[in-house]
Amino acid sequence: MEFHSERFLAFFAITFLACAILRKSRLKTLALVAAGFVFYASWNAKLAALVFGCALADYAFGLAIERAGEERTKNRLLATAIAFNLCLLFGFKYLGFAIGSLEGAASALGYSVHWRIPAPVLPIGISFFTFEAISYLTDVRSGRVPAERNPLRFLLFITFFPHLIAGPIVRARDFLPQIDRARRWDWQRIELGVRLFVIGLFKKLAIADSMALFSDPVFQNPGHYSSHAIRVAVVAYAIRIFCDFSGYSDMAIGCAHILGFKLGVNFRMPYLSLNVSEFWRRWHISLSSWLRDYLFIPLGGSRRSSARTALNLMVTMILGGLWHGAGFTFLAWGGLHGLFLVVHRGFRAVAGRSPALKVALDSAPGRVLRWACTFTCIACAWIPFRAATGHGALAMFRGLVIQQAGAEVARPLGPFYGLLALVIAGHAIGSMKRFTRAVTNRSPAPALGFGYALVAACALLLAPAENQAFIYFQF
Amino acid sequence: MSNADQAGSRNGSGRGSSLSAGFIAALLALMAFRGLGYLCILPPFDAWDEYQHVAYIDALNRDPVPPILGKAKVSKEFIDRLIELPQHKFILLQLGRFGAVDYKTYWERSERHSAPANRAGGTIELYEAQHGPLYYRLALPIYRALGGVSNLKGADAALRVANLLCTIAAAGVVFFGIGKLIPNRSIAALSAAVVALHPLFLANSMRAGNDALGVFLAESVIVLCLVRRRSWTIGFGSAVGLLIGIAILAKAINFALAPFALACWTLSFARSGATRLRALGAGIACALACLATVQGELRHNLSLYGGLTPMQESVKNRTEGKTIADTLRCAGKIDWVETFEDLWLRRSVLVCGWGFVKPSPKVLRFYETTLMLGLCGWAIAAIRRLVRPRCEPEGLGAGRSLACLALLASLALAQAYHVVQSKLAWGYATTNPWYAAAGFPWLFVLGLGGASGWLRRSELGCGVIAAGLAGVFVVAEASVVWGAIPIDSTCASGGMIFSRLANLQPAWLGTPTLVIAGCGALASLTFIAYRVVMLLAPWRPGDQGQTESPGRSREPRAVRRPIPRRRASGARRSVRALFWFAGLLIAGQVGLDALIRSRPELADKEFGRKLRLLENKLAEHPGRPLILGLGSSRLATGFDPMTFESTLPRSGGAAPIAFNFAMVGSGPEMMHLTLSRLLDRGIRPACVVIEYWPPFWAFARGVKDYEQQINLGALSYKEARLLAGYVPRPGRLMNAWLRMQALPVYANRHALAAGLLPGSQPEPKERELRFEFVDQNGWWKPHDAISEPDRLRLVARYREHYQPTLASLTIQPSSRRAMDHLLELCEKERIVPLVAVLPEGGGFRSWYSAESERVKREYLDELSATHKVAVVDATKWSGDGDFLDDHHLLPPGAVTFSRLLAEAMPGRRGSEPVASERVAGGANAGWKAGALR
Repeated sequence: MEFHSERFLAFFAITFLACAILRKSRLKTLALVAAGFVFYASWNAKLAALVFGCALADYAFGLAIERAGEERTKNRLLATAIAFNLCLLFGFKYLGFAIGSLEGAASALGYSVHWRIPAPVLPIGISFFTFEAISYLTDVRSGRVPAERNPLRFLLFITFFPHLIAGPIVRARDFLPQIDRARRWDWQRIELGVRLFVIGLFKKLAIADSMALFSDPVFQNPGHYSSHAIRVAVVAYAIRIFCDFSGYSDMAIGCAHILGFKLGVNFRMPYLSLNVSEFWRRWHISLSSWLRDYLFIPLGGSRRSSARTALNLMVTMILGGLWHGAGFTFLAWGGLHGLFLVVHRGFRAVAGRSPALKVALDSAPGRVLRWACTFTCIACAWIPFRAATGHGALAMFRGLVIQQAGAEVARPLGPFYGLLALVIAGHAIGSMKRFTRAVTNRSPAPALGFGYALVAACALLLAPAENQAFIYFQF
Repeated sequence: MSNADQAGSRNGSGRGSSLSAGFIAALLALMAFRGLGYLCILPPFDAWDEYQHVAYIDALNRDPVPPILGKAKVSKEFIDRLIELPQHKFILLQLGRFGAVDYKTYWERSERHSAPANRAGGTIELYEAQHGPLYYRLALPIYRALGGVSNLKGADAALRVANLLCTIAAAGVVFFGIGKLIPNRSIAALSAAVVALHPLFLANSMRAGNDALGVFLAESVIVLCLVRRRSWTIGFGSAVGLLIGIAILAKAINFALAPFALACWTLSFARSGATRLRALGAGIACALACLATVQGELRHNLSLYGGLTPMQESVKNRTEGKTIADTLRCAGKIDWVETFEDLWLRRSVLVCGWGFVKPSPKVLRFYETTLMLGLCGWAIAAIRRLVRPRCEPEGLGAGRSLACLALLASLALAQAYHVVQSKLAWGYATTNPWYAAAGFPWLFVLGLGGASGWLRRSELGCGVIAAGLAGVFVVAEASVVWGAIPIDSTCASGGMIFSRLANLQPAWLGTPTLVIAGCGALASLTFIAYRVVMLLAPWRPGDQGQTESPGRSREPRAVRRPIPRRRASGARRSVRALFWFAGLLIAGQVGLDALIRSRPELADKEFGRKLRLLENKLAEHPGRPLILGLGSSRLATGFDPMTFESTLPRSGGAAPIAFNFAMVGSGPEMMHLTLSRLLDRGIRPACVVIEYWPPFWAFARGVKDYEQQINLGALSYKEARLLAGYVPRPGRLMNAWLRMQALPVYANRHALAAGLLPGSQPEPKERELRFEFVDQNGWWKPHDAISEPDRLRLVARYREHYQPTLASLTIQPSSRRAMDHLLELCEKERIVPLVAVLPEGGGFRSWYSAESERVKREYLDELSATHKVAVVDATKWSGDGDFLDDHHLLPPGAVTFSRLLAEAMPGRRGSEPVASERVAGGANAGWKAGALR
């Protein structure tokens, strides 16, 4: 049941009505948990039971950690709980990849081995709810959050359907207090939710899915296409993944707002970043902040030597890459970003020592140059992320750098440039915060309503014939 | 007495209006702009009997003595000027002999700059002399000022404008009445909006004629009587009587106001208490004033025509000596339920003039149902009132509702009188729904008031019914105007339409006026919709006191929860924005859905394009019987209608035309669906050639097969149900269809984007390519020739596909059922069916096993025995070289096959079937070419 399907609209309408009726009742929590189960069960009912079972286990771990008397016991319980979650993640997501890699390595060494293991169905969104559980348990251990006593409230935190499948990754300290607060009816919040949902819908249907038509054929067979087609495909994919994921996040945040909950912002126009470090402060904010808080800082962060900081960055980003998927291409993507971050830290240190360079970089042409370099690096990094195999990624890089003849994209490029211009215009308008605030706050209600209806209608009308699943559902 | 009435009595007549002046102004502006639009679109004298009314004024211009029915004639000079303008075909029945021409001839002549045809002499009766002279005397100065007969076009337009103003004044009076009578703001606003949108109320009254003045005077009387809350005084009674008299002088149907006034007076008398004597005097004064006003006219009628009314039908009946017994006998033969349903429901949204372009039957059915739902609300409210006496719908109140019912009943009686008289005089009723135009607003007020009885939250029920009615009116008006324009402009295209429409009107009613009228109407409509939606919003923050129903206990102001000002304003804005969003989105969906449905070639290309081609062909050959080919791609490529048509024997009467409506992949289920769809659209062939293609009878199709073949979302509910009857899991097909109805724009986005933004969808689906290479007769010619190696390659490919099926041929139950249904439909609609087995190549024929041949033969025999249908087996009619792939004919082969098929039509005159291997059949085997006629 995807957010842009008729089934979801019907499901959401029923859920909204139930919440509106049960607004002043504790049954609202139960209704939302049930909605979460139904939402997940629409893909796989057995896995929905598994997710709910794991969530209950985490609930028990949380209580146990809080009630444990000794610090050592708490640490052991936390380690057990994290191991439980990671084992779950590993078992479903990485076991096949690990065994395949081992087989490959053994084969390279001249041993022919073949381990027969069952291929489990990957629970959708496992990476997201596992990270949420780990952050909760860690926060309980460190005392930042009290362990939740009410299992229903905890279940709602994990299985709240807008963020269940593809985030944003929520923290217990942000979400749990809202469960009681969410009983107040707020039309402005509902309007904000509708606005975000409509914008997300437009990003997903009109832009991301259309861009897929320019990128997917080329990524599937890069050797067949010309360098120009490959460049178009790379840019199209960069736009697609942003609009797809940020569109999903907008819809999720919008749904949550309509139901009376606030989820954290996940994207802040990342393609306007002037360096990779800034990019990670704007892209998938809930994941990058999770990695920072629960991985990079515990590893030592940037308080130690430059080499150790670089290592921490590389480890964090490689694990972040692996979080996205079990494959060397994701590993390469994480590694590339780690490398970019390390290089950026080094370059920043150099620039800090040279005031003239700093002034030049802060000037308008310098900013444009920085933006261009950053966007190029990020767009190139998407190649291994999207490519099905390492060979495919290399073929894309080769076509990108070395001029090659071949087929052009089968579709006329007019819509591609049109959508590109739309995305640029959207970023330009989005960066004018005062203007956008004035427009949304001062426009008359009919104009706002007309705007929302127009955007929604365009989203529905411009969606390509074939439906595309959200990219981040696979993670 | 109802709460509202009691409140009225308590408050006297001093209660303010529940409709704001701004809202009323917007409603009037909407009517004015729409009226202006009608003036620009409706050609002069195109409205009902309009030329007769203007001729009446012209007669008064020549001789101040009012014309006498039966003696008065339309002046020759007037006719000479009149026939310079194009006329509708119905008016040509009267004016054709004088040289008047229809629109098509007029435009052709205008393009050729040729002179009008010779005119015959003679006279024409001024039958509108049946009306009293009041209106015509009042209109005479306008007619004279505009130049009279020398400037007939301008004079007619000026008279129409005067009538438009009269109608707007009548509407203003109605809105004033609604505002005074209905205390609930929302229901009052909804009622007024529905009245303002009603097409017939506006369109009928703005033509040159006495209707507008009659309606204005009638509405004045109605509102005066209904608004009066205190008991009648002698002065008031006299004024009402005088006004009724004048209304009768303007339009005789206003006699119906007398019983209504009597009902109002009775109600007033019942509650007059101590002032009963005065009330009695008021009644007498009213009657006397009315009689005094009309006595001259009545005496005139009695002396000249021998009756109270000079209605031409009554006069004719009296002249012919028909008695009251004849009248009663005639009345006994009339189906009154049908007649009143027709007058008050089915035809009461009819708009425009002699074009008689009607909204679709579905729209009218929806209108009937919606209005009846509203009126049935009264029954619910009555039951609820029995249980809880204080509870009643938020309409007029019981007393005034009774008065309104009396008004509608007396108008219906007046219509009934006309029905009987006209049936007696002409043999058929010529009564029109607009005679009772003055009653329409009060019918809607009753309906919407009743709708408030359905639900406890009264505005909601009322809003639903009002939305339904308003939707019907807008759709009806748009479709009728859209349908009338091609008649008036004779199917011109682009700017030519505007040029032609403007050419028919005086300069000041040209295209700029039309554009201004359109923009103005749209703006007014948007404003009204906005105001109504805001009034209906159930959660208006900080606005809790808008329901002013005095009968309801309201929460004291002091205990209301205070709402912070800033917060309330922000929330209110959000609610409004959301409302606008939802409304516009739904309106957009509905609009685009309507577009998809009105233009099937957008979303259902193969069917839609063929339908369009067929409609064009039928329009080019009106009145000729149609032979339709139904089948799969084999018939689509193998049946050349032109060859077939030209080979069919010709005898007296209209020669038949043929059209190839075969669609790729069609089995019996799809053929049944296709024929049903065509019949629903009013296309009834005389004969259908049904292809029997054995593999398609051996294959049970599922939902996915149909999803690939056609656009399920473009089907209507009935069509989807029909198809669902042939799939193993009907629920899945209906679910798929329902899902596509939820968001029709999303479901049909590909087709819509391709249609509205050409080039945006470069990869058409396979099914959308099928209409290419289709000629004007529906014949599909994707290939002209093929080389032998390519042909053999194709045959080898199809061998894998078809040989297993043909080796063990079966007839699926669903296919058998569909074929039976198809043939039963043909029988029911009296369509002559002909089952044809199309030619097959030698290779293809060899794939049949002996058992399969037996199954095929037995099935054909069964069809022929059960349904008495003729069967033509043309399997061996073509050589291998005629085929693309041993089962699809190439064009030369198709021409030969079509010729032989025409020759083999069973019962072809004077010969037995030629080259037919086998022709079987029962009753229809004796089918003659003449049967097509």
